[in-house]
Amino acid sequence: MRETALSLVKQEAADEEAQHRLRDLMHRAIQSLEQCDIENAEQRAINAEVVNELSMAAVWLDQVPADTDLWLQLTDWAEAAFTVETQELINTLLIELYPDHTDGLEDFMAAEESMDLVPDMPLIQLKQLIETHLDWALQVDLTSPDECYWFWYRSIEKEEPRLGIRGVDEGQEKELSLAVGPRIQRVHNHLDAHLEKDATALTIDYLMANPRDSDIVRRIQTMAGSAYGEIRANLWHRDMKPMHLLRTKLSFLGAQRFDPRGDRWVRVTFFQGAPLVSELNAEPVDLLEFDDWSFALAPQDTSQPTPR
Amino acid sequence: MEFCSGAARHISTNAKMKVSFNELQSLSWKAFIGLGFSDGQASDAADMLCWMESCGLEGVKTLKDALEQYSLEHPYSPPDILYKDTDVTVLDAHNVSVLACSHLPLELAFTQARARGLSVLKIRRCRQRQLIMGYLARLANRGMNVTAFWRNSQTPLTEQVVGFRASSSVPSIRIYAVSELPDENKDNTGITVVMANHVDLLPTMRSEYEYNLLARHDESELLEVRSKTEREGITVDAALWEQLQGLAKLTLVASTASSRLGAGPAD
Repeated sequence: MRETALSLVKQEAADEEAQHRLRDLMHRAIQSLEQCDIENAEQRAINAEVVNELSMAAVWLDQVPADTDLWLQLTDWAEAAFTVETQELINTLLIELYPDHTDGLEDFMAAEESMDLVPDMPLIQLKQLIETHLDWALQVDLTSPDECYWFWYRSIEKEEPRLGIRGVDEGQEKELSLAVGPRIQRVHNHLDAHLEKDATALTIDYLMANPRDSDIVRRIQTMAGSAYGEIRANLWHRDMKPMHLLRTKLSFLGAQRFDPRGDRWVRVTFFQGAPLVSELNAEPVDLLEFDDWSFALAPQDTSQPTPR
Repeated sequence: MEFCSGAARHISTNAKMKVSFNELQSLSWKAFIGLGFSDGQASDAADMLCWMESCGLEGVKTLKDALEQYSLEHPYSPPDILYKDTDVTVLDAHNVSVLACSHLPLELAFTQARARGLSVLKIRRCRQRQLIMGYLARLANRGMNVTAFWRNSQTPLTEQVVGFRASSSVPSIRIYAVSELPDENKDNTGITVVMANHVDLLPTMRSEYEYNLLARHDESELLEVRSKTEREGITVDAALWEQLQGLAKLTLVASTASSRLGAGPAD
């Protein structure tokens, strides 16, 4: 859905009003990030970098004309020059610019999660699909112990996914297939062997011989074209931090001000800046006034006496 | 299966409970994994079960009967291919449930019908054939006309025909008893599926033989039931629910002090 929203807003022709609005949103985001009291040093450094890069983008936005393809210029530049955090923040702000285009997408968030097989896809095409769209999964060296350090399982306590050290902790035989990357790579390796025997084989020919791969092949065929469809990282890697997965999930729910408190949990803020019940009950003239509360800022302190 | 029957003893066999479609799908997926299904098999089996239940076709009851009658818990080998050409495939499933053995052969038949216009799949010796309708619905949704035929019993001889129009999510179903037994009436636990790319294959009762129509479900009736199920949820047998929970627990790993480390402010 984020792909759809971004695609819609990037096609919009920019004008001066939208350009100014984006610049204002950028300044507010910068200010909000600067006001965050983040304890985690790594996240503090990430936020500082975002502030730095977003400030550059805001200056650039002040200097360039409102070309019709301004949003494409901005996102292309961000992709080439900025960190992923800044790129995604800019994407978020662009989506904020056009609520009329994107609010309606909310109705499609509860999409039915169906992943259909394309059984007649030539196997060579499946291989190319992986190499073109899922190449990140092929770059992992699965012979390295660090790349295969963790395994995921579901704990009897709370029935939640947890991590065990491969070869050390118990439960490996009940491993969850949460790490998609290694499975994609293994399928890719098997495809080569199958294609050597039959270069014209179809996906179904491969699956009849390898039935346990049916779910991952279906996933590859369905999700390859979605930029945000998969977590593009090796979830077995020793340096993998589950906190980032938590952050992703929490961001869907509107969490902000991420402050990692370790590798496995993160402190966040919900609904900061949201209208209070008393404010809504006060019969506001225009509800739109309450419709813009992302990147909330600290209230101005007006209690200090004016110096005489 | 010992674990499950033990758990079921604590609950009245008549107790019922309401669950949502998502709850049934999620728990049955875990239960199938607990039974040893692969991820793909489990996901398809859960979908098949839930589709049946959402159409009021007693998917859960069929599963309950299956758990009572047959052990699903064994290492699955893919069905043997007895015959295969570009249009026809014949398999031997060795008495495995269609929940575990049918999804890829059906995809093969789908591929053949796409290429050749019509295909025939026969799976010999398979169980809980009723549940195959859940996967046929998926193929029909992808634009394929599908008809399946099987015999429910030999004495009296009852036959069932299920037909999906291309792009329809529900079938037409006919179940009938045939009065005159053929000379050859050996036990038949197979199922035959015919797929056609361009023409529909809906069951219409036309026969010179005398038959007794036992059940008839049309698309409009099944759509209505599905709409009601979506609104009101699914009623399941509480003992079976506990049995599924027991199977799902087989996928869980015991907690240790180290497994709790680092998660949450309590640490």
